[in-house]
Amino acid sequence: MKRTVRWILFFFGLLLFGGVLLTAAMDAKPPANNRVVEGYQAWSQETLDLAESFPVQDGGRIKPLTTYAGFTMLRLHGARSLTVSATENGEPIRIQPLAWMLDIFFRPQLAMQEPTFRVDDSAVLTAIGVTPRDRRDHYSYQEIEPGRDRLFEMAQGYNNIPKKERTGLEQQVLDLAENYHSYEQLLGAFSMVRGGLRMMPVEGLPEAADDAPKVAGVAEVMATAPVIRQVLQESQAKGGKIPPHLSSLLQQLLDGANASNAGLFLFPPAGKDDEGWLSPGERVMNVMEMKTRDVEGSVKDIKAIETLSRSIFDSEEAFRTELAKLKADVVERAQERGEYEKIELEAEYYRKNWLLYALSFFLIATLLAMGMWMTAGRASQWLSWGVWGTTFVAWGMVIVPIVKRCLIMGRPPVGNLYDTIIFIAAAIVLFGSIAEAFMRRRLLLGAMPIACVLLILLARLFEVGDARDHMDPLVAVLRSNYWLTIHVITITLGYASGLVVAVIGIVYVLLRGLGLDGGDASMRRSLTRAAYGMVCVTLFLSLVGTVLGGIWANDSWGRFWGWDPKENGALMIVLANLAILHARLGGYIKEWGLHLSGIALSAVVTFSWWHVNMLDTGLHNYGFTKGASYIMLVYSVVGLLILFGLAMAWWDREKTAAARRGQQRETPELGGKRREA
Amino acid sequence: MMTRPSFLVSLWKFFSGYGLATFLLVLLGVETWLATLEMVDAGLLATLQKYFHWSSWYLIPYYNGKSMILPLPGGYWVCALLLVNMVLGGLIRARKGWKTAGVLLAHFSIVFMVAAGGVAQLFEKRGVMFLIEGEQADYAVSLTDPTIEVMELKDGKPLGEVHVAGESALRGLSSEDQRVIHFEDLPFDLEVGGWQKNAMVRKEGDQWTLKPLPVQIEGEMNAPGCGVRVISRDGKVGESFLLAVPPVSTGEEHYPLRQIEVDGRTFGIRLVKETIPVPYTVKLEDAVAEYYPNSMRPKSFSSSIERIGERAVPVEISMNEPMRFGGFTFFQRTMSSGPQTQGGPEFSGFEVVSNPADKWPEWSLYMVTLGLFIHFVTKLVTSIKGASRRRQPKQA
Repeated sequence: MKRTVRWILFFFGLLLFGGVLLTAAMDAKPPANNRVVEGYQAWSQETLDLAESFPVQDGGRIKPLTTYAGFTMLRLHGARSLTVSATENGEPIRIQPLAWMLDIFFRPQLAMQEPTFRVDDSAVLTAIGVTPRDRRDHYSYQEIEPGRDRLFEMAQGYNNIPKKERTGLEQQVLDLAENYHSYEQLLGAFSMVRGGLRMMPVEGLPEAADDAPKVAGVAEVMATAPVIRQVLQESQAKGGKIPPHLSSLLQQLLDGANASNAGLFLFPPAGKDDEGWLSPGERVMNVMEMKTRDVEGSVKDIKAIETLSRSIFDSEEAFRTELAKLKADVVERAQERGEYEKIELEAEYYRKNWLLYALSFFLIATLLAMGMWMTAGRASQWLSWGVWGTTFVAWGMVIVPIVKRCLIMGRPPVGNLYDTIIFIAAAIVLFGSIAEAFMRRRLLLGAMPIACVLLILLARLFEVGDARDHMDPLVAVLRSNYWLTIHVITITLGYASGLVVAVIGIVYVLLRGLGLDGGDASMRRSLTRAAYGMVCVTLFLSLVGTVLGGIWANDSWGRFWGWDPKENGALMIVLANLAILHARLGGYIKEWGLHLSGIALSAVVTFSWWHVNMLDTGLHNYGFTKGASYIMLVYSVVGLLILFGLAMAWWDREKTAAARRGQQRETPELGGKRREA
Repeated sequence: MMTRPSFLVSLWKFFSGYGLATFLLVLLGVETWLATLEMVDAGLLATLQKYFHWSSWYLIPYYNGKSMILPLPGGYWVCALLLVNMVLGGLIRARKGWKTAGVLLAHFSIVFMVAAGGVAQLFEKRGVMFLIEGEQADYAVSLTDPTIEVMELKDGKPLGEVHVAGESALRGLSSEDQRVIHFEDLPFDLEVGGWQKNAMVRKEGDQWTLKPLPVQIEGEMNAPGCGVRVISRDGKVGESFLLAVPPVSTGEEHYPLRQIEVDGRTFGIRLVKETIPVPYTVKLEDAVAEYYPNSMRPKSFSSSIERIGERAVPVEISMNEPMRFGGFTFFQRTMSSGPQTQGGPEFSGFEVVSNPADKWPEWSLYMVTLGLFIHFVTKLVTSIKGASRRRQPKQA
């Protein structure tokens, strides 16, 4: 019977695990978007390799183009890839962020047909007069273009509504408008240099014999800036109009510079003290308005991107040659400024995708753990070594990206919510291993990889949902490596150990509740000791971390305690641990009580770690409200586990009491029958 | 035969027991959670007043604007009882010995930390000082606490000291209340009524009226107003008029003084946010707001000031690096907003705090860390020793 129950549970566990994975994968995966983009050709790997570590400035730091492309695509498209085909029924071509961004910069006629924009509610498109397809789908720039003006008009109106009062539709209109605007800025980055400037015939001069319009390069016009200024001054001095050919030229230049002003900050500034890199538009206008001494460098830069953007019409090889030249020049200048050291490291960080490898190993460890629990004797022993091995390999693959992120960011490992997830995954393995070393029951050993799988999936989901580069520099108040090291790490370790308490509680409740422990009292005591120890560790870390946070707040904001939601969450963890320990010392809770309290602690940790960030209030507010349904799911699971545990504890008590009563009746002194030994 | 413990012994056991400690810890946790949820709609200050102020004996939580029916004791009193429990149970009743040294130290440091909170609540003064480059000041203005200031005037200029009815005299006033505020050294008292937490004065026809405005959830954005009647020493009711703090949007610190004549003397009266005098002058030399390049992300805010007392001392104040001097701490609070203002006149806002218990939490941190460390390590060692003893085969 017990064996049957084990197998049933095993399959249910497997089913549940598969279900979680599938749900996460479905959520992260965009709907099918295999659209036809006539004549689309994928970029060669050589070109992509070359472009990958091209340095650009974004979010206040210098980063490789691959990072910029990745997060921009996540924000606009909701995923890191899309698929198109060159013909009807043609082979699907997968376009990843770097290729997607190169299309926007250098093959806009193709890019504008790619299904870039994720629209979650088709009502947004209906509202702007565009015929939608499914309720949730992806649309190209061209498809949305007929409703562009209406979109921006509506967004302008909704922008005045306070965020909390906006409807879902209003917020989506705003999001789409912002994404569309960002995309147009990217499209504009090279548009001016690609097409050049059309020259009108000069008044009074005979027109050229051929009818072909004359086109001048932007760099050429920049080189003649002093002449243009002189002509302008002369016409102003005479009180006359600006000559039409010059007026048209300047207007085109101004429009082009505006279009390429904010999409891409590509050129390191000449001044060593200047921190802001320059966009093509700024390079042009600085020369035309005499705002720079580096005229020669500016003209050279614009000439280089002109050549680059036109070379794509010749061949990809020619394009690659020009790209290599430009990259070499920019990299050399970045190196001189000491801004290139971490670019290759970061490009490699995203290329390697360590967390995906870690996830694979944790999954293998999970499957091995299931086998370990299902078998006994030597087989179980062998499998447990397998679980240890794979878990530690996976752990290493979590540690490597944490270390790399520290090196790239130049700060301690935890500075934002994304950092906390992977850090907690690493800490859970550490705490879990220590607890397992004391227990030696192979229970936590198997639970650790399961918890880590869930955390890494959470990290991936959060990255997709948040779509922000989590390695961007920290805001002024957080820029303190001292406090980030001692307060943030301590409190995050407190979350991790609190979650380990909950994991031990869940293991205990399931084992004892479902009768899988075979009534092994020693195993139960062992789990209880481990949980008690971890409650002590959690209290220590949470209390010290919370007070350290208070001291930091006292130095930053002038108050030790401000009842900010994040502070309250930390306090709640401390109070919950204190309550558990005092209740245990007072004898109000025993084994069941301790473990059920431990499971409840996970809800408190979830509230403090995640939920308070969604309340949209307080100094620690991260300003996002997505994912509230996941939080509710966590609370519901915790609630169900506690209810189940309570019911089982009651049943257990009744059973024990009944057994005791039976034993008493059968005691001879009380008139019962003597039983044979 | 078992004897029942006396009432006093039972009472002692109850107040120093683990049961009360557990109950209060859970209750405080629940109230903190409810307060966190409620402050989303009600705002921080109103929620704190409701949940954790000493005047709030009990409270009824609200969530999403709906009453949760269940009345709970006020958080301040839960904390007070917890403190009593901790002192009685965790310090007095607890066994004394080297094995309990850690936990005793931890309890003591928590008591010390709570005491720091109590001292701060009673004696802390908190205000802001906004300065434009080149300006100087020797006072800060409270963010929230209103105060009625009365001063005698001669030839339109203040004479002698300013008489103040502070936050404690005005606390808890509502629009229905009438409260007489007694001024010991003045020939009259003031009766305050029709108090509005946020209001503006405006003229309707020939009449000045106090128009109530929605109460802002960020308490510092509220500008209170009220009606005032002058009551002379012989009980006669004199002039009636309106007083109000100017709305934040006007940028004014106060409206002109309301002048009254009593016993041939002229007095000026106004309602303002409390003025906190600082024992030295602060002059803003340079305010530097740095942003990360090509972004709106703030990188660093710092102010070069000159602290002018007996001598002028240059000091640098920045985020995470406040200036502590003369019983006051100056924190960098706000700066000219956004990189677009670069080049224009810069201003800097300091949060100015006087708190006698400023460093107490830090000292208590060292104690609690040491105490818990000693306690848990002792427990761990005992547990490991116990486990190894259990594993050893028993001698026959």
